[in-house]
Amino acid sequence: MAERPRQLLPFGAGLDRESGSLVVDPQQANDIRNVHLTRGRAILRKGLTRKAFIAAEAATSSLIGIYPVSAAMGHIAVVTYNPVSRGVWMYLVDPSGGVVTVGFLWAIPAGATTPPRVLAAEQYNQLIVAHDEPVYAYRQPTITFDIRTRVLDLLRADFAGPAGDQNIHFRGVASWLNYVIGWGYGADNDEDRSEVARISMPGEPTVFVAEHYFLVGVRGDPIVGGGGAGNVFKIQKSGKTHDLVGYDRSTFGVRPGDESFGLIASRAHVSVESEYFFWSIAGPRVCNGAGASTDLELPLDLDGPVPDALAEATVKDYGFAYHDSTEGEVVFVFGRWAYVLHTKDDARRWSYRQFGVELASAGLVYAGGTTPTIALAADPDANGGAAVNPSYIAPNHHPKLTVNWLNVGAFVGDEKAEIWVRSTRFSGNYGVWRRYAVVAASALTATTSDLHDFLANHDVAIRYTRFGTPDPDYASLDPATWPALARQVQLTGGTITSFDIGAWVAAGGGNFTASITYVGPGKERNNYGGNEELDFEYEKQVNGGAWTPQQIVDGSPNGHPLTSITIAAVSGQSIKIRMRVVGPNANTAFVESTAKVVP
Amino acid sequence: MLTPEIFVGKASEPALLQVGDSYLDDGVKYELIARTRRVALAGAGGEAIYTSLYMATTHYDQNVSLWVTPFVDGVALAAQRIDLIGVPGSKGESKTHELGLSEPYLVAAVEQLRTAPRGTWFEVQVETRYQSAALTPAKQVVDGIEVEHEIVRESMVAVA
Repeated sequence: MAERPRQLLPFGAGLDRESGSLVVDPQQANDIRNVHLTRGRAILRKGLTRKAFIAAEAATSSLIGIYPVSAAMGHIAVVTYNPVSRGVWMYLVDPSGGVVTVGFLWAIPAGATTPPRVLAAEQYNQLIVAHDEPVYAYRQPTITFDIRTRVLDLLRADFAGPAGDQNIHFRGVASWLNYVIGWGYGADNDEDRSEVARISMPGEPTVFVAEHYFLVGVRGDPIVGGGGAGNVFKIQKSGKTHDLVGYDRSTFGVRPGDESFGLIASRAHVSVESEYFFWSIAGPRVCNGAGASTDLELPLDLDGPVPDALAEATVKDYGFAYHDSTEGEVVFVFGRWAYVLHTKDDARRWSYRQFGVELASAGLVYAGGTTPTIALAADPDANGGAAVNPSYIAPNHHPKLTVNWLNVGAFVGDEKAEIWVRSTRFSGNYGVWRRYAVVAASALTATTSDLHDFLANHDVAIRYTRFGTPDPDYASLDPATWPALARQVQLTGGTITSFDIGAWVAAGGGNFTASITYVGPGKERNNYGGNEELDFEYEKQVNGGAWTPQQIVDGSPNGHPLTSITIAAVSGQSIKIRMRVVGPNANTAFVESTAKVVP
Repeated sequence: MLTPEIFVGKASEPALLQVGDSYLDDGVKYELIARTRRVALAGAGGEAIYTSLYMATTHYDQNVSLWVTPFVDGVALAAQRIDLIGVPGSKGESKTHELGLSEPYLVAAVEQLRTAPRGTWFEVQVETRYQSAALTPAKQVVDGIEVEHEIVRESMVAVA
């Protein structure tokens, strides 16, 4: 009896939902999910393992951004959104899953798109973070994060002259060659320019010059996103793609790229070597260098029957893409559903991926390493020094700390000492560790840059480094875990160096007013995170008698105390005023004015 | 040694997840599903009898199972379970499994004849059932299926 024939149906060829039944290759699949595809094989895909949990966040917060922080090997910066408070925060995660708070970024206003989308670019130890909000009125200012000092600040520039530096509100940012490209912001007298792409100075990611920008395509048609494709940068709108060609200011130019297809969502793209994969209104496409894109959608038949309700469950605006170089896959994720392009060999093919949990972001990080350390023979003894607070600089008076320490062990000679400080009073951006000074370790003394809180206790931690690398005992992201000998608590000062009143002038109704001149603690540094106002206390003495309290006055909006004082008085009285600064942990001594006679 | 790792963020809680290492999505099981396109092995106007399936698989670190469901002319036949037993380790163990599609016709408990499904269009679905069958996920590979069939009527090209 003749042997019956057999038809081979291997599972490695991927999806083909488009070809007709009479011409379809028998190797193709109508539905194939949760696999890695190779030639003739479908392998159950690997899952997702929990690496870290941000305990400081609400249980319903989402993780909306993941960014490698390459200057600190293996560390990841993550951005979260709390739907209850509408707050956006940033944290650092180390390879062991330890989490350190970086600080508060934005409060998302009512009416803005929620959850918010975030785009970021890293260059030269700076992470630039933009709020991808299409409505300019709701868009939050662009933030810079200094990876070395962990300081958050506003990205500012002067694009229109007399008004000086203003906050920039980019809708998106990307890193390209030696530059950061930001889009969606014009100038402080014409902010909402969605078609403008600005380019930073080379090697200076936080410096933007007014003249370095391009108008991309039609005015008012917003730039959605972009990325590198070989030797060009793709600047994409929703229906068109433009090519940024060149490599420096003298050669940069914007040309039409693909006249028919653009980007459906700001994060739905990924660059793989010279190819740029993106999701358009018509589905997935790919560019190789300059010019038009090529369709990848055909086997998916996106206009045909939906393979699963999950494929339609997520608003496309929140789609994002990543490239898994180990498996050779480009993955476009929409909530719990993903389309996977397998590129490991020459035959590109698609499969579906159905996740067990809904995803909001992805990031490629080079992990597996540890923070580099170097054993040092010397250690700082922070408890051997005394705090000294220098005088203030008019007109804005900021607290500083001078930290003194002793040394234990022998110096090699090139050690640096890093001074890290955090306020013990605040839980927000002022209550996180930041690096405020770096000096030669042998100096045994350092003065910080401006702090934020007068008359308040601050945690201080000192560590030595060589070539920017710390000793293993000081490698943790959290200075509170460094050896106790290297940590101390110090009180910032608040000395009033001069105070006086002018002549009394009748103000009507039995009241008299005198001007106040003052040099002393003023506002905190106008750094991102807001200003904290001081309280000032005033007392009056009439004809040398007892001092009587007048009022406790919150600091004025610019942080200075009153510029004049009005009291009830009688003609002929000799009146003095005295004032002190009320701090969270201590008050300054009262300082008296000279006596002035009421006319 | 530094290796490129993919990290993803959850939308429903502030958790950072890393791709790889396990076969769960943050503790949640997921299924492998593979369904072929419909093919007409005897041509669109022909018919075939489908007698057996031969399925090639590989498994590694623990017992795993697969369910195979043939469809003839769009009608699902009974799903058959394949258990891959043993812990061969990282090198894996490849096997071929024969799944008979014919059924006996019995008279007084004596098989008189066997019948096999007959039709034009054939497709097959292979899947795991970790959730419904309460099984532990593990690495496994589906290499493919061979369909043994006998053409009983071929499509004929029209002759003028």
